Amino acid sequence: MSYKRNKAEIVLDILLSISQNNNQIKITHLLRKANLSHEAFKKYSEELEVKEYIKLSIIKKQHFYSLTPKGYEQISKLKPLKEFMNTFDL
Amino acid sequence: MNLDTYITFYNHSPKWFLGIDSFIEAFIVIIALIIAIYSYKVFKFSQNKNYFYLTLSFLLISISYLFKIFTDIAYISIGREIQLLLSIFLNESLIAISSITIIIHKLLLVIGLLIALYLTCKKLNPIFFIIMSFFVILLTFILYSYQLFLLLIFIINLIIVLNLTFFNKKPKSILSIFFMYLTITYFTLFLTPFIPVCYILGHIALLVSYLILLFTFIKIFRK
Repeated sequence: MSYKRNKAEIVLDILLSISQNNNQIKITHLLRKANLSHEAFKKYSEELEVKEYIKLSIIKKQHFYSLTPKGYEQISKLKPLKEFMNTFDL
Repeated sequence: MNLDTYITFYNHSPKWFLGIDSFIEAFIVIIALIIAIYSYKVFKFSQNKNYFYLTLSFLLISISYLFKIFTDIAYISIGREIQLLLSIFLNESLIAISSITIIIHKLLLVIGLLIALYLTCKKLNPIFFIIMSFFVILLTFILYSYQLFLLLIFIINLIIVLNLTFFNKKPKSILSIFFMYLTITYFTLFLTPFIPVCYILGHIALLVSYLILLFTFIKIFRK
């Protein structure tokens, strides 16, 4: 897309990246999939954790992000909007 | 103006089809409204102004057809017999009301399509677009013939399709398919006075155009 993503779109991209990776993703992989810098992601991840959309877990000394039920709920709300944008392609 | 005069000047519908066309148009009002509302949701989500223009365009088209339905139903329900009885009181006011509602229908439809045109012509100079819109809206007022108005709408649709296909290179996008069907629709409707069956064919094409949008919309939620 040629225009800059807004906050809601970035949030959806983060949530979708986690969901598409079997609900468990390493931070580096997530940054690449959601196309975000570390600084930008830090800002969003804090907010998403406070809203209980995602949670951080440590498995074998590695940090993983996963979705909460609220996160899945948010995806089902936002995904059709994104799909509409992809279909109409304006 | 009685029902026959109305059919001769504006509607051109076979008498058996009167009412069915309003039903089709009512369906279009609902679909256009659904697209407008959802497009506004997308605008709020993405802050992409193009979706705001899409909202405006479909909202105006929707309201435009509401006025068309209102005019059609007023003539169908009043009918010739009642008109004769009440002609002294009713005829003058009916002429005045229908003239206004038809103008509002024409104006809203043309503005709705002009917004869609602006949306699809990203390289268009805004000043040129404003001047062009001014003349198109002026033409809508001047054109007494409803057929010439349909020709004008056909030309606007054709420009939108050509723009989407050749300049934006989106021949398979849902909007280019939709406007392609609309172009066929308005050309068919334009031919109605010469080939009466075109009124029915035009309305079927109009219905198909909006059904394509509706099915696409439903598909979004099924994914």
